[in-house]
Formats: sequence, C-alpha cells, structure tokens
Amino acid sequence: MKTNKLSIIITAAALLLSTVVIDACKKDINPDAFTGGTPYLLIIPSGLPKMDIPANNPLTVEGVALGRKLFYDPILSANRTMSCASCHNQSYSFTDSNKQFSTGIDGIKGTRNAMNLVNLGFQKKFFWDGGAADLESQVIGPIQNPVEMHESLANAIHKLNTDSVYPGLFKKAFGGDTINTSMLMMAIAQFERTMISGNSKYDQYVRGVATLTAQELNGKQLFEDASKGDCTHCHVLGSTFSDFEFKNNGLDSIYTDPGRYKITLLASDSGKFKTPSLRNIALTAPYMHDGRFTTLQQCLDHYNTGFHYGAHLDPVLSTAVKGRMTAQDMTDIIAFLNTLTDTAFINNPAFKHP
Amino acid sequence: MNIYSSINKFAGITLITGAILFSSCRTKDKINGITPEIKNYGSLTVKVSNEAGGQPITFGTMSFTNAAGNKYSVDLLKYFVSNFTLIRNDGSERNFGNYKLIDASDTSTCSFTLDSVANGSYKAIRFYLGVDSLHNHTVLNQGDLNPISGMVWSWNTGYIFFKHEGSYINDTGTSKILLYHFGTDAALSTVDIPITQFDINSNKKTLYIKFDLNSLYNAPNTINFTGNNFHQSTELSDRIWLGNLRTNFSSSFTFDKVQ
Repeated sequence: MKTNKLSIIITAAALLLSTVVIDACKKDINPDAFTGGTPYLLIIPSGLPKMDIPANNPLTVEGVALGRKLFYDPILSANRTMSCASCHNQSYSFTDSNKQFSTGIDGIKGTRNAMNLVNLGFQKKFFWDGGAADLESQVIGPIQNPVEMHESLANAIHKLNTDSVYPGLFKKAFGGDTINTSMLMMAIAQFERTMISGNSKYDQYVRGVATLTAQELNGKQLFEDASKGDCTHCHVLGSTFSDFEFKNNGLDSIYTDPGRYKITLLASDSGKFKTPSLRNIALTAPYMHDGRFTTLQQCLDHYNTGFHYGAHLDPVLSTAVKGRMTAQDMTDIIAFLNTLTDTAFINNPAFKHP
Repeated sequence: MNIYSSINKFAGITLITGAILFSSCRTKDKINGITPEIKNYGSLTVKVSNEAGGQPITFGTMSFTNAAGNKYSVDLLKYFVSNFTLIRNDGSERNFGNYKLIDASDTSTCSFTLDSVANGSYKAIRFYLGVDSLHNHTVLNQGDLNPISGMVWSWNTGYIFFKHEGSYINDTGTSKILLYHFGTDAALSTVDIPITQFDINSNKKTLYIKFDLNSLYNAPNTINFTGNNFHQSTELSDRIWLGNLRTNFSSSFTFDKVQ
C-alpha cells in the first residue's frame, strides 16, 4: 500500500510538474497570434509543371484577393493615376494593348515592351533582362521606375497604411497592424502566381478534347522541326512555351539595349533577353523586347532570314540556314501559334478588376 | 495490482515527458549552443564614427578634399556593415550574422549591439561592407534590409552596399554631381581590422571604430572624381571603379578604442 500511495504521489507530482513546464513553454504563445490565412487551392492544368511556391509566401485566399486589388489600384503610383493593370491589360494577356512602349505617369515612354503576365509562377527571373531575382522582388521595380509609376516605396507604404481599407485587408492576409514592404511584395506575387493559362485550343488538343486542323498540325510539326521552324530549342513545346533563359536572337549586331549584360556585366550576355512564353502570342503584339515587330509574320521572317550574325548570337541560330522556311511553312506555323490563345484566361473573372 | 502498476508506469512516462519538455525549454535559452554564464558574457555596443580627413562629416558643404585634390561635399552617406565578426587571441571567431545600415547623418543608426559576447582578449575585427549573396538576391527582407531605405536597385534585385551622393569641383572649377552607388555580389568587400590586442569585459563594453571617406578614396587606390563621378555599378565602365573601392574599404575603417 505504501508503494501504491507513493506512486500516486509521484504521479501527481509529475503531472503537476509537466503542467507547470508546459505552461512555462506556452508563455511564448499568444492565443491571438496570426496563424495564417485560408490556404488557397491552386489548380494547375494538366500539361503544366509543378509550381515551386516559396515557403515564406504560401498562397492564401486573403493574400491573393489583396494582391488582385493592389494590382488594379492606382494608389501605388505617385499621382494615383496608374496601376499595374494600366500597362498589363487582361484582354491582351496582360500586355499593353498594341503599344510598342508604355507611357508612365509623367508622360514619359519606357524603352521595352510590356511583358505578357502569364504563368509567372513557373519562372525564375523577371523583366526582359532578368534583373528581378524573384517574383516578390519584381514588384518594387515598376512602382519606383521614374518612367512607370514613379513612386517611392516609403510613400507607397505610407499611403497604404493611412488608407481606410488596406490595413484591415493586410492584417487578414499577413497579420500585424502595420503594412510593410514585404507584405506588399508578397500579396502581389501571390495574385500573379494564380494567373495561369493552360486551356488554349492546343491544351485541349493535348487532352484529347479538341482537334487541330491539318494546317495547324503541320504548323506544330514545322515548329518542332530542327531544319524548319526550330522553335522548340527555346520555346519548349507543350507547357510553358519558354525555357525562360536569356538568348541573343540576332535582332542587332550593335546593341542600343545591351539586355542581360546590364545585370551580369558579362560581355557574353550582350544583347540577350528573356525568352518570352508564346502562350497567347496572337494577343501580345507587338513583339520582341522593343516591340519592333508588329506581326507574327515579321517575327518568322526575322528567324528565317532577318537575323544578324553578331558575336553573341545564340549557337542554335548561328548554325540555322537562312531561308529554310517557305512562305507556306511560316503561314502554317502562325496557324499553330494561334492555337495557343486561351480565351478562358483573358476572360477569367478571377483575374479581372475586383 | 494491475491498476497500481499502470499508475507507476504512467508516473514514469509523465516524469520522462516532463523532463523532455523541461529540457526542450532549456534549449531555447542557449545561444548558438553555448549556455551563457552571466559572469563571462555580456553585450557589446559597436559605435562607428564617420569622418573625412579626420573631421566629422558635415552635410551639404564643399568641405572636404580627397587625395587626388578634388574638393567635394557629402549630401548622403549610407552603407551596410554585416556579419560582424570578433576574433579572439586564440584565433577562434564569432560571427554575429548581423546586417546594419549606417546612415552617417543619423547617429542613432551608427551603433549596434551584439549580444552574448564572451569576455576576454581579442586581436581582430572582420565584417563585410555590403550584404552577402545569401541576402542579396531578394529584397523580401525587413529590419535594416527593408528596401524602403532606398538602398536597393529596383531594376536589378540587390542591395546598394554603399552610397555617397554629393558634388565635387572639377578641373575647370565647376561644381558637378558626385554619385557613387556601389554594390553587386562581386563587389562584396571584406574589411579586416587587425588590432594588437583589446579586451572586452564588464568595464569595456563599447567598441569604437572609425570610417574615413578620404581614406576610402585614397589607399591603396587613389580615386580621382574627375571623369569618374557617376557610378551605379551597372556598366562595364564601372568595373575598375568597383574593384578599386572594394580594395580600399579595408583601410577606410580603423579601430579607435574599447571602453
């Protein structure tokens, strides 16, 4: 009996000690602490790769909704006249209609064509020269660029913090009573990761629910054929339609814009620009980093006969035969490129002005 | 009996659980695996004074002359000091892994405190002038690395390690802009300050170091502002300037005292 009593006492003491210790540990935990928003279920259409979402910025319903509101809100520009959507219009696959260069809040034009904002979550570096090292860091570029929204980060954050609506929305998405630069970058990046295109006629054809015409099928074959279009070296067929690498495609032999070189200062990167995705390519004219070509025919003419043999020309192109495509070949390739238009994407209500 | 034996087992499990919980709480109190002992550790404050030719920096006046003979002014002077490391007499090192943005116009930014510094004798200080590549490839950072400071490039993700903006008098006597924005991974500069010996203890817990702009523009590479007055680290023509400044940073910092 003594032993039994003793064991009960020990048990009680041990329980008490555990409780005290557990309580001591719990002291750090604030019951009101932010535990994260509602996880956002991202649906990736078949055919597209897995998206690597950074662990420090998981998608949440609140974060994506906030990013969408910010994307369309001119509050981020210095004089509240422009938003991201001013130059990235959903109807044109988030490019700036048919403009070669976009005009910023001070009436000054930029020097590069507004990029197609499609499937950004699969890409590693942003801007035509890859200067932005991640999607979050990209956000501060256009906000601060004097020829775009021309606003200081400090003022942008101040405007958000003194707004009647944003502090509550940021708190729901990220917790905390004060909006900071990280939260701004994270929200917009979250929305951008949801902007996925994977339901073009071509995608439907791959899934067996649509058929391509004989001309479109021929165009697809020429697109892949190394002795004809030879497009797939860079515009990888079947998913993102880009390797998202930096290539010199022979636009010039003397560079007015040195491209990737500006970021790396490597001579070998002179005249290199990011391979753009060809998704929705029929909607994103004009083409190339400087919007020099207004039609897809001009682009194909360039790759067929127009490219320059500069010192940094991509090896694939430097060994390609000039004049390898006939006029009919190019017409068929364009017919195939037109199958990459995703009308569900440009009409998706989830990407519209909230 | 069965019930009591169960209770005994339960007591044992509870004790073990308690012990595990207790020790897991203890682990939290350790810093870098070392349990601090009050007598042997303390905080150390590092204070940086900013000078040019031994004179305190005054802003907006053409008050300084570099070794090349250029008169110049300072409107803005900011730089990052990171991974502050103390090297003990026995050669062992402690890297505090910190990131400090110093704004010479605001003395409240010119000091930082390191926690749990071991008392004893030291022989050298080392730190980076700049931000290591681990933190230089995103601006999704807060604290001193918050991009709101303006110490980032918005078109090329990364921190501007060092910024001096002002003006200088060129060869023909005209005042011209001086804009030095120094950075990129390749420009990360290691500053080594060897010191004969210094002690850190409860009576000596503030370390004073000096940064001198004229030294930065003097040794070992003399920087002449003429035709060399505008650099943003993004052109091939910036490369020589980047290399020269990178080398010069070590001699621009000196140990003053510990007290």
